[in-house]
Amino acid sequence: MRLDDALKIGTIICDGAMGTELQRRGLGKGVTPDSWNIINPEQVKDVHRAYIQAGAMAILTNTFGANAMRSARDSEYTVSQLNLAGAKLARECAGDDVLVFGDMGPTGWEDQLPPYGNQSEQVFYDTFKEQAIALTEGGVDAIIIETMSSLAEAVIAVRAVKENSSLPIISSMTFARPPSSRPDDIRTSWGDSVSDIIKALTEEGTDIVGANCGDLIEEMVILAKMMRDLTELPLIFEVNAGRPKIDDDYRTIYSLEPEPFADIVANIVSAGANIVGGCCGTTPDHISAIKKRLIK
Amino acid sequence: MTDLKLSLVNSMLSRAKAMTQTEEIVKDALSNNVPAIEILNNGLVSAMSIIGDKFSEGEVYIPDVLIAARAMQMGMDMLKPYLTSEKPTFKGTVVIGTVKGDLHDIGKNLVKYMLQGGGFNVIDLGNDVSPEKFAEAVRTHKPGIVAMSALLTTTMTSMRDIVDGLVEAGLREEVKVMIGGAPVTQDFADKIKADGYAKDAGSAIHKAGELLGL
Repeated sequence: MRLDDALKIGTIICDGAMGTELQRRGLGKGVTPDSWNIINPEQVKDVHRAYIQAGAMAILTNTFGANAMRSARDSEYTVSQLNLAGAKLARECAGDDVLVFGDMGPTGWEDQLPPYGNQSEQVFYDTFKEQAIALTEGGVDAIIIETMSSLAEAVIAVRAVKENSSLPIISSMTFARPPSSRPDDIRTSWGDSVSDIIKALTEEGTDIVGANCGDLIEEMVILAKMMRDLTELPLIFEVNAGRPKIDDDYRTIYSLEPEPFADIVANIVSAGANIVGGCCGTTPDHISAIKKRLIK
Repeated sequence: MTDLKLSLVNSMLSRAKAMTQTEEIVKDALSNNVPAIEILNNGLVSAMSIIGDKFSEGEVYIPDVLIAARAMQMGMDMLKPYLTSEKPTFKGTVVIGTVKGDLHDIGKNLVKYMLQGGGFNVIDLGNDVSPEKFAEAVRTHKPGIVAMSALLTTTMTSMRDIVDGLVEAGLREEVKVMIGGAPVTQDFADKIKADGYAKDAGSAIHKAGELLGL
């Protein structure tokens, strides 16, 4: 199955949160999720399979922070090792029918980009390039650049992927709650507007654009409408399961149950989204709720 | 004095012109014999607090805060030679760090700038800070507050270990623990027995002052 074929068929449901699912399977605090691609691959595959069973038609590799400026920095494994392993595990579970998106998250050092910091753009570019090459080699169907708060950083990431891989590129930004004085002025925490984002990332070569994570939950529907009005590119939205709470066993549980979560996601699809899934706090139950809801 | 505070808010938020405009205002105030301590507390510090509130409300964004913090620092440096005779005491000392394995430095950095702008002495332990390192910093610096930041749901639970680490080291009673970050909530703060929770960098100054009884 190729991504562009899948998009022609209908709405693509992707997966939900990985880190918290690994924690449920024993990932210790202070241990990075991506390290399990090498030291405990069976559990990573278990999560992938659970999401596929729940209805995910696309799964994201367990490589969100596995770049040279983040978790791979202190890891005993190289960026290449972590991303190759992550891609291969996902591919094994996905087979030919399920799509694999190579997941790339932010560096965490956006405030070091010029003009605010002293880091060169080249360092960021090389970081994203290294990860993109490894994921491509590992056999993913597309690269997803997600949870970006800084358009400046996202632009460098898209460019790095475009120039070093021939795979389709998905770019997903994280938005903040707008001020009460300007409720329609939805921007990232860096102040990037929806129209600036779509213009810049389209110019850079993204094939798909959208949003994930952040403060917006029901407001993602408004965001979907805004984006649909501005572009004909396929749109992606991965929504958080509400806000986190801690139960008496100190486990993080999210406030939005699968059914109301799926209702919001269904509205996002009506607003024009092509790919939908879950972000923080979501579980396979949230994904199967989306599947049930979209069939109705 | 309100004029000074408001004109500094404007200058600090004027992006490309923030540095030159803020420098002018501070120079002007000094040549008009406004006491340096007033320019600092009622001018720069108050302006930073207003900017923090605007950031909390989503009115201004991270680049605005980064630039304002830089202008603030420049203003404070200009005042230093005039302040030696009247030693400004810090409102308190805060040890701050991002928990092990987390995503952003930026949340912690924004809080640091806010707290420094608010007159606190901030010891920045950086990121990937273990419970042991937090405890050691408390022993060394004897802060009033330990502040922790986390952006990921998978790392916020480490905050509990840090609180427990302080209890084990017999240091818990000596500090107030303040936490923050996107997934963090008051409910979580209560569960891990933190003393306070700040929703974002803008609210952090207010919470820190509250915790120290200022």
